[in-house]
Amino acid sequence: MVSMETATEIKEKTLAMGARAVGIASVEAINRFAPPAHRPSDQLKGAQSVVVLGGGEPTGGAWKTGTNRVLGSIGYNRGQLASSARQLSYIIEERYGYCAIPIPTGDWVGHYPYMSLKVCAEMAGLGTRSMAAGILLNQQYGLLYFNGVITTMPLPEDGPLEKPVCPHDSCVRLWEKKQTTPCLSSCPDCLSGEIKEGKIHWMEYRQDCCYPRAQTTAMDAFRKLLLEAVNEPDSEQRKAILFGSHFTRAVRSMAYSSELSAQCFNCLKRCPVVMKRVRRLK
Amino acid sequence: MPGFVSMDLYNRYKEDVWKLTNAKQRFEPGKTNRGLTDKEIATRLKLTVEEVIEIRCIAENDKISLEAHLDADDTKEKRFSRPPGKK
Repeated sequence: MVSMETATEIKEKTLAMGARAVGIASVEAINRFAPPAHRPSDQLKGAQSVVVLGGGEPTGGAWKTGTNRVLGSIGYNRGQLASSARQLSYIIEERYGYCAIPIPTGDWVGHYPYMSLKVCAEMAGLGTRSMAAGILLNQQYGLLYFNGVITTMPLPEDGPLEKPVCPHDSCVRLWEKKQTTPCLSSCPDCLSGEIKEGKIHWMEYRQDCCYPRAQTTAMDAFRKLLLEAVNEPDSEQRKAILFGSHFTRAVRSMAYSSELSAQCFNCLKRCPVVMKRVRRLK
Repeated sequence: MPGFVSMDLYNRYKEDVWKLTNAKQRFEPGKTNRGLTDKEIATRLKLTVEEVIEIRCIAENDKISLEAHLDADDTKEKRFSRPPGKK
């Protein structure tokens, strides 16, 4: 095991490269939850640790935008953390002499990822699961996006947080009064759940319902609209599909790699854990 | 499995495969609930992994209607301005 000083040095470098939060998880801890073929050791032979980067979240002001469309457009930048993770991989190899790879963060096939960033971040102490689709909530920043580096370097792990970030006290009070929470009431299609004795008792999330909301103009929409156009026998109607606003947005999203994901935010817009940071702003 | 999956096989197994994926996720503190991997689904349904991948991938699009994508903006904007606490 390398020293705590080295781990601290790596964390400081990671924050200097643009991450808002950083934590370290052991591959052993992740493997207790991640299924075979989706473990860090499946991506890098001999992997010992995962350095998890958190950041890329909406600015405080983004939560005060006038429309959901604007929030969906500026709420998330996929590139920033991926760039930091790649740089950190080079540093770990060149300065410390251990193999390192950025976590493959695209979809493996279809809606399945290479591995769960959520499990990695949870095991690195960067947040706990919430009533809002099980999204990890960080006590300082609320919503964070994640990326990371898998390495053969045996780093001291941070481990999961002991105290759950969700539910917030105000959500517990709302639940006791109305049997709902801000997130559940924001999206009753995708979310359901129950709070018992001040804690999450259970939460269910329908990813299939969330997909068209969070990825309204992304790859799935493009393919569905394309199939609709191909199957349309009337040439004028075909033109309406292909030149219409939905297909135009889908093509643009893919061409510019923008507005591809995180286009909804309804479930977190009134989350008190997220909003406490916003309230401090003028 | 070379090429594409037959639609006959897809139609026979799409519901079974779909139920085992992570399309619906449940979290209960202290319990391990997760959708199955393609390999685990293949073992459960006695299909090949490649067949499961194809069936899952098609179903992920097939099970979500085009209307759900087209109506999404409207739904989100309405909820964006709804006061909290309403069930």
